Amino acid sequence: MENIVSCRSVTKEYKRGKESIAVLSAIDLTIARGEFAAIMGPSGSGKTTLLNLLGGLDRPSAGEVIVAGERLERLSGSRLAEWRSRNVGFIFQFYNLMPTLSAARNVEIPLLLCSLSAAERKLKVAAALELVGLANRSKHNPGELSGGQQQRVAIARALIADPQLLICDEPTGDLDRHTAEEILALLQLLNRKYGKSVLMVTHDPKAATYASRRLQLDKGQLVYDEATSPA
Amino acid sequence: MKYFPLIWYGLWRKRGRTWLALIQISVSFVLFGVLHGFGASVQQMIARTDADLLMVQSRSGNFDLPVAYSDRIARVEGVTAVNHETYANAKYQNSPKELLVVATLPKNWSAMMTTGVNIPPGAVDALLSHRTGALVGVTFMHRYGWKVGQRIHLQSNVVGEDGSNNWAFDIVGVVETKDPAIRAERSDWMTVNYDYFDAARLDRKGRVTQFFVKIKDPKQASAIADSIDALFANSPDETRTQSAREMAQSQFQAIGDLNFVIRSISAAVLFSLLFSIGALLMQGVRERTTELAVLKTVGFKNWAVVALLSCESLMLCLAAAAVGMGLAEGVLWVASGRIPIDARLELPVPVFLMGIVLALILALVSSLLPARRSLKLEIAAAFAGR
Repeated sequence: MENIVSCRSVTKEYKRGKESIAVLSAIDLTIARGEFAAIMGPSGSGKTTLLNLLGGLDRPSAGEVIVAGERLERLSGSRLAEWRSRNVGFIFQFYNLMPTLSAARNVEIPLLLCSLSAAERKLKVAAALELVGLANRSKHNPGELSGGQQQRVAIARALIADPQLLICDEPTGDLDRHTAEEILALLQLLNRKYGKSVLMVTHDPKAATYASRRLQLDKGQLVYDEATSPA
Repeated sequence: MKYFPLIWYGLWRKRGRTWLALIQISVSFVLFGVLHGFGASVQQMIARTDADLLMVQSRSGNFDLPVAYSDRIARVEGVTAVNHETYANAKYQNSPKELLVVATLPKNWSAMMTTGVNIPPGAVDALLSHRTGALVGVTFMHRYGWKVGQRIHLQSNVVGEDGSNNWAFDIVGVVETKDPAIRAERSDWMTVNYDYFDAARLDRKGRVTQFFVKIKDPKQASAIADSIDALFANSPDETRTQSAREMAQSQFQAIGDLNFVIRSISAAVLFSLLFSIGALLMQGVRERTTELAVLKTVGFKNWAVVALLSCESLMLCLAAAAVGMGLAEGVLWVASGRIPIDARLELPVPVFLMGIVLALILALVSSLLPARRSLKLEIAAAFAGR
């Protein structure tokens, strides 16, 4: 199967004064198109750093990162932004919605970069909100929605530009168990029914059971990689 | 246009702060508009002042000259007409407001006032035929509810021959300032016969406040003024002659270089505004680090984020400047006629355009630092709170 992610000898170091701190060391990783991979590991193990590199939000210190057929470390900042808008949808732990924009306006943001008419954007937004079960909340501001609903709006925003890859950083970390399961089921649906590749960082072993593959990072190295039967 | 909701969101993210900024910028532009509007109106008034009109006053500054100078001034080469005016203050009944009574030669006065005052046909003849007659400005007619034909009794600062301050005049006509913008407030004088006034007063007989001299060629104004002053040099009543335009200019120069004052105040206000708006936008960007990082994450390029921030600043500054200058126009409109300037105070189009350009500059310059900060913002670091 074609790989959506392919990393070779990826290293990431941060400078702190004169000191250099290695966060990721020589990571080799491939993820097949259509996979749902959960990345686990203790705090400081480099999970989010790896996610940032795979999502084109940061650049490796060494090694190559190929995602959706593009060598990310070779792209300029501007080309990388363009690439992100076409290929990746991001879902964050704290939703990161614009507080004074309605749910529909929040979902619409990535579409502003496309050459779509207002009517076309409206249709796509309505479809995305329908998909996440929030068709009747489109005019509500984030402050008027529950945590789970806000995360659904964030998922709709991540989906709206029809990316191949969804990158989720602790998507259920701020939610209660029941709501977390709803969100995970939704991500699983997007993976299975709509063929989206999903990369999810989580601390929660229960959340990882929704993935078809589990990766474990420790001290910047990949220490465990296993295909599993998802819940 | 599709980015408007994002810009609007950014602008109103902190409503209270945006309102305060709007008020601050608006007030600054009110000041800018009022000062520049006032300056422009003064220049307009000076430009409109007759260039062929000289004013002869006492060099000592006591506004007191012999009426006999009139004939000698009239004989100076280049002079086409001479008139004199003598002023008295008066009050009507219990009104606290004072009236200006102008005692003059009606025919000469009407000949000189053709450009500035509407004098109905027959009014001057009526004044000449009524020794105690008065042509009253519409401001007084409306203020006191007077009618033509009515006899009015005034208390003046000029003592009459009977030793009292009581003066009586018969209204024989109504006059008004030609400029409709200031007509209602600035038609605030009444013209009476000098001959009657002079004969009926107790002292200072044969004296006038000042002379008005019409000349043939405005270019000769300075030479003619010198000739008039030379006539009365070394006399007990030396004169100082100036063109009406020079006099208007010197009146405003007496409070300093008006344009310099206006420019200095405007520059100081706008300069301080630059820093406060810059600080405000900077604070906004600092508070929105994560949100700006989200925009970049979903694919907004650096320049697009900078453009959004600049548009917020532009909207804020332009809206506030427009409101401020609109209010300034209102202030000038209200002040028109209420301050002693014979010109309508208004915000000329060039001043309005200058305000808009300044608002644009203010918006762009004040968004430089926030733009720089947003350019330097690294997504991963922003999400990590670094």
